[in-house]
Amino acid sequence: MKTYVSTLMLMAVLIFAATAAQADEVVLIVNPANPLSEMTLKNVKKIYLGKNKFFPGGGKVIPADQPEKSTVRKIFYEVMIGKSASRLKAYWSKRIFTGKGTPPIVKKGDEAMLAWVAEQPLALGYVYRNSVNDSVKVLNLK
Amino acid sequence: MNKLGRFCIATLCVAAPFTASGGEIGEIQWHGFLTGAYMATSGAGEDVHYSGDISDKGTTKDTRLGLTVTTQVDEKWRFAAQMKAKGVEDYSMEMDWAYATYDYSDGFAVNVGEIKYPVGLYNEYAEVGYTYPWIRAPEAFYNQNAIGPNMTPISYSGVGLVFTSIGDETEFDFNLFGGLLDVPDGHLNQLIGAKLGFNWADMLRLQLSATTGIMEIETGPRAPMNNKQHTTYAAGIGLDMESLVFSAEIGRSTMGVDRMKTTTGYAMMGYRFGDFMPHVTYGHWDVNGGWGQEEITLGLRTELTSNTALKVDVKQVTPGDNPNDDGGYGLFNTKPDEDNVLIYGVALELVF
Repeated sequence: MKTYVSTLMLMAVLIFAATAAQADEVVLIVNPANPLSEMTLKNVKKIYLGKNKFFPGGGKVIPADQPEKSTVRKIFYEVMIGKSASRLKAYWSKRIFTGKGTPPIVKKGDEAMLAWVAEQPLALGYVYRNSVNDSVKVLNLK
Repeated sequence: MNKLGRFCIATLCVAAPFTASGGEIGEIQWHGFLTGAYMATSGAGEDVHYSGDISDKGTTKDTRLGLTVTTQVDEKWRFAAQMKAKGVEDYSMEMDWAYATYDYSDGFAVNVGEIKYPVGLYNEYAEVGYTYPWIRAPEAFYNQNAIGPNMTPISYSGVGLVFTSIGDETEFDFNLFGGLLDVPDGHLNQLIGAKLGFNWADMLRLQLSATTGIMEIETGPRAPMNNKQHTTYAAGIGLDMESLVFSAEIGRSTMGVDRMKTTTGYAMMGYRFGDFMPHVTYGHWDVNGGWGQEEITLGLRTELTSNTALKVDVKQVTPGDNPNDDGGYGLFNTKPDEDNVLIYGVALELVF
Protein backbone atom coordinates (compact mmCIF):
# COMPACT_ATOMS: atom_id res chain seq x y z
CA MET A 1 0.00 0.00 0.00
CA LYS A 2 2.86 2.34 0.99
CA THR A 3 4.65 1.60 -2.31
CA TYR A 4 1.44 2.25 -4.21
CA VAL A 5 0.92 5.68 -2.58
CA SER A 6 4.59 6.61 -3.13
CA THR A 7 4.31 5.66 -6.80
CA LEU A 8 1.18 7.73 -7.18
CA MET A 9 2.83 10.73 -5.52
CA LEU A 10 5.90 10.39 -7.73
CA MET A 11 3.69 10.23 -10.82
CA ALA A 12 1.80 13.35 -9.69
CA VAL A 13 5.07 15.25 -9.18
CA LEU A 14 6.35 14.15 -12.59
CA ILE A 15 3.09 15.15 -14.32
CA PHE A 16 3.13 18.52 -12.55
CA ALA A 17 6.79 19.09 -13.46
CA ALA A 18 6.18 18.09 -17.07
CA THR A 19 3.16 20.42 -17.32
CA ALA A 20 5.10 23.30 -15.77
CA ALA A 21 8.00 22.71 -18.13
CA GLN A 22 5.62 22.62 -21.12
CA ALA A 23 3.98 25.89 -20.06
CA ASP A 24 7.37 27.49 -19.65
CA GLU A 25 8.34 26.50 -23.16
CA VAL A 26 5.65 28.72 -24.71
CA VAL A 27 6.10 32.45 -24.25
CA LEU A 28 4.07 35.52 -25.15
CA ILE A 29 5.75 37.99 -27.46
CA VAL A 30 5.08 41.58 -28.51
CA ASN A 31 6.74 44.13 -30.76
CA PRO A 32 9.85 45.68 -29.12
CA ALA A 33 8.19 49.12 -29.40
CA ASN A 34 5.38 47.96 -27.10
CA PRO A 35 5.95 49.56 -23.65
CA LEU A 36 4.36 46.58 -21.89
CA SER A 37 6.65 44.15 -20.09
CA GLU A 38 4.15 41.89 -18.32
CA MET A 39 0.54 40.72 -18.47
CA THR A 40 -1.78 38.72 -16.27
CA LEU A 41 -3.06 35.35 -17.41
CA LYS A 42 -6.61 36.73 -17.15
CA ASN A 43 -5.76 39.50 -19.62
CA VAL A 44 -4.21 37.03 -22.02
CA LYS A 45 -7.30 34.87 -21.82
CA LYS A 46 -9.67 37.78 -22.48
CA ILE A 47 -7.68 38.95 -25.49
CA TYR A 48 -7.42 35.47 -27.03
CA LEU A 49 -11.14 34.85 -26.50
CA GLY A 50 -12.01 38.12 -28.22
CA LYS A 51 -13.44 39.74 -25.08
CA ASN A 52 -10.84 42.48 -24.89
CA LYS A 53 -9.45 44.38 -27.84
CA PHE A 54 -6.88 46.40 -25.92
CA PHE A 55 -3.61 45.76 -24.08
CA PRO A 56 -3.69 46.58 -20.36
CA GLY A 57 -3.06 50.31 -20.35
CA GLY A 58 -5.13 51.02 -23.44
CA GLY A 59 -3.26 50.21 -26.65
CA LYS A 60 -5.10 48.33 -29.37
CA VAL A 61 -4.09 44.67 -29.60
CA ILE A 62 -4.07 42.27 -32.54
CA PRO A 63 -3.58 38.71 -31.26
CA ALA A 64 -2.32 35.94 -33.52
CA ASP A 65 -2.55 32.17 -33.27
CA GLN A 66 -0.40 29.33 -34.48
CA PRO A 67 -1.88 26.71 -36.85
CA GLU A 68 -4.71 24.64 -35.45
CA LYS A 69 -2.87 21.30 -35.31
CA SER A 70 0.41 22.64 -33.99
CA THR A 71 1.71 21.47 -30.61
CA VAL A 72 2.61 25.00 -29.55
CA ARG A 73 -1.02 26.05 -29.96
CA LYS A 74 -2.30 23.00 -28.10
CA ILE A 75 -0.01 23.78 -25.16
CA PHE A 76 -0.90 27.47 -25.22
CA TYR A 77 -4.67 26.89 -25.13
CA GLU A 78 -4.73 24.02 -22.69
CA VAL A 79 -2.26 25.54 -20.22
CA MET A 80 -2.82 29.30 -20.52
CA ILE A 81 -6.39 29.65 -21.78
CA GLY A 82 -7.82 26.48 -20.28
CA LYS A 83 -9.79 25.26 -23.29
CA SER A 84 -9.42 22.11 -25.34
CA ALA A 85 -9.52 22.28 -29.15
CA SER A 86 -13.15 21.13 -29.39
CA ARG A 87 -14.35 23.46 -26.60
CA LEU A 88 -12.53 26.31 -28.30
CA LYS A 89 -14.15 25.47 -31.63
CA ALA A 90 -17.58 25.47 -29.99
CA TYR A 91 -16.82 28.81 -28.30
CA TRP A 92 -15.75 30.51 -31.52
CA SER A 93 -18.58 28.97 -33.53
CA LYS A 94 -21.05 30.82 -31.31
CA ARG A 95 -19.30 34.12 -32.01
CA ILE A 96 -18.45 33.63 -35.68
CA PHE A 97 -21.87 32.44 -36.77
CA THR A 98 -23.63 35.34 -35.03
CA GLY A 99 -21.23 37.96 -36.39
CA LYS A 100 -20.01 38.83 -32.90
CA GLY A 101 -16.36 38.14 -33.48
CA THR A 102 -13.71 36.11 -35.20
CA PRO A 103 -10.77 34.15 -33.82
CA PRO A 104 -7.23 35.53 -33.91
CA ILE A 105 -5.46 35.52 -37.24
CA VAL A 106 -3.15 32.58 -37.85
CA LYS A 107 0.61 32.76 -38.45
CA LYS A 108 2.14 29.56 -39.77
CA GLY A 109 4.85 28.58 -37.33
CA ASP A 110 7.28 30.32 -34.99
CA GLU A 111 9.27 31.90 -37.81
CA ALA A 112 6.23 33.54 -39.39
CA MET A 113 4.95 34.63 -35.97
CA LEU A 114 8.27 36.24 -35.06
CA ALA A 115 8.48 38.06 -38.41
CA TRP A 116 4.93 39.39 -38.07
CA VAL A 117 5.30 40.49 -34.44
CA ALA A 118 8.58 42.23 -35.31
CA GLU A 119 6.74 44.30 -37.94
CA GLN A 120 3.34 44.87 -36.28
CA PRO A 121 3.38 47.33 -33.33
CA LEU A 122 -0.05 46.10 -32.12
CA ALA A 123 0.86 42.41 -32.24
CA LEU A 124 0.54 39.79 -29.52
CA GLY A 125 1.72 36.27 -30.29
CA TYR A 126 3.20 33.15 -28.77
CA VAL A 127 6.12 30.91 -29.72
CA TYR A 128 8.41 28.34 -28.13
CA ARG A 129 10.92 30.03 -25.86
CA ASN A 130 13.85 28.56 -27.76
CA SER A 131 12.62 30.25 -30.98
CA VAL A 132 12.73 33.77 -29.55
CA ASN A 133 15.21 36.23 -31.07
CA ASP A 134 16.01 39.94 -30.63
CA SER A 135 13.34 41.10 -33.08
CA VAL A 136 10.59 40.64 -30.45
CA LYS A 137 10.03 41.20 -26.75
CA VAL A 138 8.97 38.45 -24.34
CA LEU A 139 6.20 39.34 -21.90
CA ASN A 140 6.37 38.10 -18.34
CA LEU A 141 3.23 36.45 -17.05
CA LYS A 142 1.95 37.70 -13.69
CA MET B 1 -34.07 40.09 -47.45
CA ASN B 2 -34.88 43.76 -47.12
CA LYS B 3 -33.10 46.84 -48.44
CA LEU B 4 -31.08 47.32 -45.27
CA GLY B 5 -29.61 43.82 -45.47
CA ARG B 6 -28.85 44.20 -49.17
CA PHE B 7 -27.16 47.53 -48.42
CA CYS B 8 -24.91 45.87 -45.80
CA ILE B 9 -23.90 43.09 -48.21
CA ALA B 10 -23.29 45.53 -51.04
CA THR B 11 -21.15 47.68 -48.75
CA LEU B 12 -19.23 44.62 -47.59
CA CYS B 13 -18.57 43.50 -51.16
CA VAL B 14 -17.48 46.94 -52.27
CA ALA B 15 -15.42 47.76 -49.21
CA ALA B 16 -13.69 44.43 -48.72
CA PRO B 17 -11.32 44.40 -51.72
CA PHE B 18 -10.09 47.90 -50.93
CA THR B 19 -9.58 47.30 -47.25
CA ALA B 20 -7.98 43.87 -47.44
CA SER B 21 -4.30 44.24 -46.62
CA GLY B 22 -3.06 40.80 -45.72
CA GLY B 23 -4.14 40.60 -42.09
CA GLU B 24 -5.83 42.28 -39.13
CA ILE B 25 -7.81 45.39 -40.25
CA GLY B 26 -9.33 44.70 -43.61
CA GLU B 27 -8.71 40.97 -43.44
CA ILE B 28 -11.67 38.99 -44.74
CA GLN B 29 -12.45 35.79 -42.87
CA TRP B 30 -14.62 33.04 -44.31
CA HIS B 31 -16.12 30.37 -42.10
CA GLY B 32 -18.79 27.78 -42.67
CA PHE B 33 -20.95 25.08 -41.18
CA LEU B 34 -22.55 21.95 -42.54
CA THR B 35 -25.28 19.74 -41.12
CA GLY B 36 -26.13 16.44 -42.74
CA ALA B 37 -29.26 15.10 -41.08
CA TYR B 38 -31.83 12.36 -41.44
CA MET B 39 -35.01 12.35 -39.32
CA ALA B 40 -38.15 10.23 -39.31
CA THR B 41 -41.27 9.69 -37.23
CA SER B 42 -42.52 6.35 -36.02
CA GLY B 43 -46.21 5.89 -35.40
CA ALA B 44 -47.38 9.23 -36.82
CA GLY B 45 -49.32 7.65 -39.68
CA GLU B 46 -49.78 8.33 -43.36
CA ASP B 47 -49.75 11.99 -44.47
CA VAL B 48 -48.92 13.10 -40.94
CA HIS B 49 -46.01 15.50 -40.80
CA TYR B 50 -44.18 16.85 -37.81
CA SER B 51 -42.93 20.41 -37.84
CA GLY B 52 -43.59 20.73 -41.55
CA ASP B 53 -41.44 18.00 -43.00
CA ILE B 54 -40.72 14.95 -40.81
CA SER B 55 -42.88 11.89 -41.49
CA ASP B 56 -42.76 8.11 -41.22
CA LYS B 57 -41.06 8.11 -44.63
CA GLY B 58 -38.08 10.04 -43.27
CA THR B 59 -36.43 13.17 -44.56
CA THR B 60 -33.04 14.78 -45.01
CA LYS B 61 -34.51 18.27 -45.13
CA ASP B 62 -32.66 19.42 -42.00
CA THR B 63 -29.47 19.18 -44.05
CA ARG B 64 -27.99 22.64 -44.49
CA LEU B 65 -24.87 24.55 -45.38
CA GLY B 66 -23.88 28.03 -44.24
CA LEU B 67 -21.10 30.43 -45.14
CA THR B 68 -20.14 33.42 -43.03
CA VAL B 69 -17.97 36.31 -44.12
CA THR B 70 -16.62 38.93 -41.75
CA THR B 71 -14.27 41.84 -42.12
CA GLN B 72 -12.92 44.52 -39.84
CA VAL B 73 -12.99 47.56 -42.08
CA ASP B 74 -11.24 49.85 -39.63
CA GLU B 75 -10.83 50.09 -35.87
CA LYS B 76 -14.51 50.94 -35.40
CA TRP B 77 -16.48 49.32 -38.23
CA ARG B 78 -17.11 45.61 -38.77
CA PHE B 79 -19.29 43.90 -41.34
CA ALA B 80 -20.58 40.35 -41.16
CA ALA B 81 -23.00 38.33 -43.26
CA GLN B 82 -24.18 34.73 -43.39
CA MET B 83 -25.61 32.84 -46.34
CA LYS B 84 -27.38 29.52 -45.98
CA ALA B 85 -28.84 26.77 -48.14
CA LYS B 86 -31.31 24.43 -46.43
CA GLY B 87 -32.88 21.21 -47.55
CA VAL B 88 -36.25 22.42 -46.32
CA GLU B 89 -35.92 25.35 -48.76
CA ASP B 90 -34.70 23.18 -51.67
CA TYR B 91 -31.10 24.30 -51.06
CA SER B 92 -31.63 27.73 -52.55
CA MET B 93 -28.90 30.01 -51.21
CA GLU B 94 -30.38 32.77 -49.07
CA MET B 95 -29.04 35.49 -46.85
CA ASP B 96 -29.51 34.48 -43.21
CA TRP B 97 -28.34 37.76 -41.72
CA ALA B 98 -26.13 40.70 -42.69
CA TYR B 99 -25.26 43.62 -40.52
CA ALA B 100 -22.70 46.29 -39.76
CA THR B 101 -21.32 46.93 -36.29
CA TYR B 102 -19.89 50.18 -35.02
CA ASP B 103 -17.70 49.47 -31.97
CA TYR B 104 -17.93 52.75 -30.11
CA SER B 105 -15.86 51.25 -27.29
CA ASP B 106 -15.19 47.84 -25.68
CA GLY B 107 -18.42 48.40 -23.76
CA PHE B 108 -20.79 49.72 -26.39
CA ALA B 109 -21.59 48.74 -29.98
CA VAL B 110 -24.35 49.51 -32.45
CA ASN B 111 -25.59 46.88 -34.93
CA VAL B 112 -27.52 47.88 -38.06
CA GLY B 113 -28.98 45.51 -40.64
CA GLU B 114 -30.63 42.10 -40.59
CA ILE B 115 -29.72 40.66 -37.21
CA LYS B 116 -30.53 37.31 -35.63
CA TYR B 117 -33.39 37.61 -33.15
CA PRO B 118 -31.49 37.66 -29.84
CA VAL B 119 -34.10 35.91 -27.66
CA GLY B 120 -33.25 32.49 -26.24
CA LEU B 121 -29.92 30.92 -25.38
CA TYR B 122 -29.55 29.23 -28.78
CA ASN B 123 -31.60 31.28 -31.22
CA GLU B 124 -28.78 33.39 -32.61
CA TYR B 125 -26.94 30.29 -33.84
CA ALA B 126 -29.90 27.96 -34.23
CA GLU B 127 -28.79 27.04 -37.76
CA VAL B 128 -25.36 25.93 -36.55
CA GLY B 129 -26.04 22.49 -35.14
CA TYR B 130 -22.44 22.03 -34.04
CA THR B 131 -23.00 24.55 -31.23
CA TYR B 132 -25.66 22.60 -29.31
CA PRO B 133 -26.30 19.02 -28.23
CA TRP B 134 -29.50 18.12 -30.10
CA ILE B 135 -30.23 17.69 -33.81
CA ARG B 136 -32.95 20.32 -33.35
CA ALA B 137 -33.04 22.72 -30.41
CA PRO B 138 -36.08 21.91 -28.19
CA GLU B 139 -39.11 22.66 -30.31
CA ALA B 140 -41.27 23.43 -27.32
CA PHE B 141 -39.28 26.65 -27.20
CA TYR B 142 -37.55 26.91 -30.60
CA ASN B 143 -40.20 26.48 -33.25
CA GLN B 144 -41.39 28.62 -36.07
CA ASN B 145 -44.94 28.91 -34.84
CA ALA B 146 -45.91 32.55 -34.65
CA ILE B 147 -47.58 32.10 -31.30
CA GLY B 148 -44.55 30.80 -29.43
CA PRO B 149 -42.27 32.94 -27.29
CA ASN B 150 -39.38 32.30 -29.61
CA MET B 151 -41.35 33.18 -32.66
CA THR B 152 -38.79 32.58 -35.31
CA PRO B 153 -35.16 31.88 -36.00
CA ILE B 154 -35.48 34.43 -38.81
CA SER B 155 -33.55 37.66 -38.42
CA TYR B 156 -35.13 40.98 -37.56
CA SER B 157 -34.42 44.08 -39.62
CA GLY B 158 -33.42 47.01 -37.53
CA VAL B 159 -30.99 48.35 -34.99
CA GLY B 160 -29.48 46.86 -31.84
CA LEU B 161 -27.61 48.72 -29.11
CA VAL B 162 -25.29 46.37 -27.22
CA PHE B 163 -23.79 47.36 -23.87
CA THR B 164 -21.15 45.03 -22.42
CA SER B 165 -19.30 45.02 -19.13
CA ILE B 166 -16.50 42.50 -18.72
CA GLY B 167 -14.83 41.73 -15.40
CA ASP B 168 -12.14 39.19 -14.60
CA GLU B 169 -14.54 36.26 -14.73
CA THR B 170 -17.92 37.90 -15.25
CA GLU B 171 -19.58 39.44 -18.25
CA PHE B 172 -22.83 41.40 -18.43
CA ASP B 173 -24.48 42.38 -21.67
CA PHE B 174 -27.59 44.39 -22.35
CA ASN B 175 -29.10 44.42 -25.82
CA LEU B 176 -31.78 46.93 -26.71
CA PHE B 177 -33.18 46.28 -30.16
CA GLY B 178 -35.98 47.34 -32.45
CA GLY B 179 -37.27 47.02 -35.98
CA LEU B 180 -39.37 44.56 -37.96
CA LEU B 181 -39.55 40.78 -37.64
CA ASP B 182 -40.85 38.34 -40.24
CA VAL B 183 -43.01 35.52 -38.93
CA PRO B 184 -44.81 32.80 -40.90
CA ASP B 185 -47.64 34.47 -42.88
CA GLY B 186 -46.86 37.97 -41.65
CA HIS B 187 -44.75 40.41 -39.73
CA LEU B 188 -44.27 41.70 -36.23
CA ASN B 189 -44.10 45.45 -36.68
CA GLN B 190 -42.83 48.08 -34.26
CA LEU B 191 -40.70 45.43 -32.57
CA ILE B 192 -38.96 46.60 -29.42
CA GLY B 193 -37.01 44.23 -27.22
CA ALA B 194 -34.44 44.03 -24.50
CA LYS B 195 -32.16 41.20 -23.46
CA LEU B 196 -30.04 41.09 -20.32
CA GLY B 197 -27.31 38.47 -20.20
CA PHE B 198 -24.83 37.34 -17.58
CA ASN B 199 -21.87 35.05 -18.14
CA TRP B 200 -19.55 33.67 -15.48
CA ALA B 201 -16.27 32.18 -16.71
CA ASP B 202 -18.02 30.76 -19.80
CA MET B 203 -19.54 28.21 -17.44
CA LEU B 204 -22.76 29.87 -16.31
CA ARG B 205 -25.06 31.86 -18.55
CA LEU B 206 -28.24 33.63 -17.46
CA GLN B 207 -30.58 35.45 -19.79
CA LEU B 208 -33.73 37.51 -19.38
CA SER B 209 -35.59 39.03 -22.30
CA ALA B 210 -38.77 40.88 -23.13
CA THR B 211 -40.12 41.85 -26.53
CA THR B 212 -43.26 43.46 -27.82
CA GLY B 213 -44.66 44.45 -31.20
CA ILE B 214 -47.80 44.70 -33.30
CA MET B 215 -48.64 41.56 -35.25
CA GLU B 216 -49.60 41.87 -38.91
CA ILE B 217 -51.20 38.66 -40.15
CA GLU B 218 -54.13 39.41 -42.44
CA THR B 219 -54.93 35.96 -43.75
CA GLY B 220 -54.95 32.38 -42.52
CA PRO B 221 -55.91 30.83 -39.21
CA ARG B 222 -53.80 33.29 -37.22
CA ALA B 223 -55.59 36.33 -38.64
CA PRO B 224 -57.30 36.98 -35.26
CA MET B 225 -53.87 38.13 -34.07
CA ASN B 226 -53.85 40.87 -36.71
CA ASN B 227 -53.12 44.32 -35.26
CA LYS B 228 -52.89 42.87 -31.76
CA GLN B 229 -49.97 43.45 -29.45
CA HIS B 230 -47.67 40.43 -29.18
CA THR B 231 -45.61 40.40 -25.98
CA THR B 232 -43.17 37.77 -24.81
CA TYR B 233 -41.03 37.25 -21.74
CA ALA B 234 -38.32 34.62 -21.58
CA ALA B 235 -35.69 33.50 -19.09
CA GLY B 236 -32.88 31.00 -19.50
CA ILE B 237 -30.01 29.41 -17.66
CA GLY B 238 -27.09 27.52 -19.17
CA LEU B 239 -24.40 25.66 -17.28
CA ASP B 240 -21.38 24.18 -19.03
CA MET B 241 -18.88 22.63 -16.64
CA GLU B 242 -16.09 20.34 -17.76
CA SER B 243 -18.41 17.35 -17.66
CA LEU B 244 -21.88 18.49 -16.67
CA VAL B 245 -24.01 20.43 -19.13
CA PHE B 246 -27.40 21.86 -18.21
CA SER B 247 -29.74 24.36 -19.77
CA ALA B 248 -33.31 25.41 -19.16
CA GLU B 249 -35.54 28.12 -20.57
CA ILE B 250 -39.06 29.28 -19.99
CA GLY B 251 -41.15 31.72 -21.97
CA ARG B 252 -44.60 33.24 -21.86
CA SER B 253 -46.42 34.97 -24.70
CA THR B 254 -49.62 36.94 -24.94
CA MET B 255 -51.06 38.15 -28.22
CA GLY B 256 -54.47 39.64 -27.57
CA VAL B 257 -56.27 36.32 -28.17
CA ASP B 258 -56.85 34.34 -25.01
CA ARG B 259 -56.76 30.86 -26.56
CA MET B 260 -53.35 31.61 -28.07
CA LYS B 261 -51.65 32.48 -24.78
CA THR B 262 -48.70 30.20 -24.33
CA THR B 263 -46.24 29.11 -21.69
CA THR B 264 -43.37 27.00 -22.81
CA GLY B 265 -40.08 25.69 -21.53
CA TYR B 266 -37.57 22.91 -21.43
CA ALA B 267 -34.77 21.54 -19.28
CA MET B 268 -31.77 19.61 -20.61
CA MET B 269 -29.01 17.80 -18.79
CA GLY B 270 -26.00 16.11 -20.31
CA TYR B 271 -22.75 14.63 -19.10
CA ARG B 272 -19.49 14.43 -21.04
CA PHE B 273 -17.60 11.14 -20.90
CA GLY B 274 -14.58 12.15 -22.95
CA ASP B 275 -15.82 12.57 -26.51
CA PHE B 276 -19.29 11.22 -25.73
CA MET B 277 -22.13 13.24 -24.27
CA PRO B 278 -25.45 11.55 -23.57
CA HIS B 279 -28.22 14.00 -22.75
CA VAL B 280 -31.87 14.09 -21.80
CA THR B 281 -34.38 16.89 -22.36
CA TYR B 282 -37.92 17.49 -21.23
CA GLY B 283 -39.94 20.17 -23.01
CA HIS B 284 -43.49 21.42 -22.63
CA TRP B 285 -45.48 23.81 -24.83
CA ASP B 286 -48.74 24.78 -23.19
CA VAL B 287 -51.29 26.70 -25.24
CA ASN B 288 -54.58 27.92 -23.75
CA GLY B 289 -56.39 26.45 -26.75
CA GLY B 290 -55.02 23.00 -25.88
CA TRP B 291 -52.92 22.17 -28.95
CA GLY B 292 -49.47 22.35 -27.36
CA GLN B 293 -47.19 19.37 -26.88
CA GLU B 294 -44.88 17.57 -24.51
CA GLU B 295 -41.54 16.18 -25.60
CA ILE B 296 -38.84 14.01 -24.10
CA THR B 297 -35.55 13.65 -25.96
CA LEU B 298 -32.70 11.24 -25.40
CA GLY B 299 -29.59 11.99 -27.37
CA LEU B 300 -25.93 11.22 -27.78
CA ARG B 301 -23.37 13.65 -29.14
CA THR B 302 -19.96 12.29 -30.13
CA GLU B 303 -16.98 14.51 -30.95
CA LEU B 304 -15.33 12.93 -33.97
CA THR B 305 -12.66 15.61 -34.41
CA SER B 306 -12.17 19.11 -33.01
CA ASN B 307 -14.66 20.46 -35.58
CA THR B 308 -16.94 17.50 -36.33
CA ALA B 309 -19.64 15.91 -34.22
CA LEU B 310 -22.05 13.04 -34.72
CA LYS B 311 -25.48 13.18 -33.08
CA VAL B 312 -28.18 10.61 -32.54
CA ASP B 313 -31.52 11.71 -31.03
CA VAL B 314 -34.72 9.89 -30.14
CA LYS B 315 -37.63 12.09 -29.18
CA GLN B 316 -41.09 11.19 -27.92
CA VAL B 317 -43.72 13.82 -28.69
CA THR B 318 -47.17 13.85 -27.11
CA PRO B 319 -49.41 16.45 -28.75
CA GLY B 320 -52.27 18.21 -26.97
CA ASP B 321 -55.87 17.01 -27.11
CA ASN B 322 -57.46 19.84 -29.11
CA PRO B 323 -56.74 20.77 -32.71
CA ASN B 324 -55.68 24.31 -33.53
CA ASP B 325 -57.38 26.39 -36.23
CA ASP B 326 -55.38 24.55 -38.89
CA GLY B 327 -56.50 21.19 -37.50
CA GLY B 328 -52.99 20.56 -36.22
CA TYR B 329 -51.96 19.07 -32.89
CA GLY B 330 -48.75 20.41 -31.40
CA LEU B 331 -46.35 20.64 -34.30
CA PHE B 332 -48.16 17.84 -36.19
CA ASN B 333 -50.23 18.90 -39.21
CA THR B 334 -53.05 16.61 -38.09
CA LYS B 335 -53.81 14.11 -35.35
CA PRO B 336 -51.20 11.34 -35.40
CA ASP B 337 -52.20 7.68 -35.24
CA GLU B 338 -50.60 7.19 -31.84
CA ASP B 339 -50.76 9.37 -28.74
CA ASN B 340 -46.98 9.27 -28.37
CA VAL B 341 -44.95 9.58 -31.54
CA LEU B 342 -41.26 8.74 -31.72
CA ILE B 343 -39.01 10.95 -33.78
CA TYR B 344 -35.52 9.67 -34.36
CA GLY B 345 -32.64 11.12 -36.22
CA VAL B 346 -28.95 11.14 -36.92
CA ALA B 347 -26.84 14.13 -37.90
CA LEU B 348 -23.27 14.92 -38.76
CA GLU B 349 -22.21 18.44 -37.78
CA LEU B 350 -19.19 20.24 -39.13
CA VAL B 351 -17.77 23.75 -38.76
CA PHE B 352 -14.87 25.05 -40.79
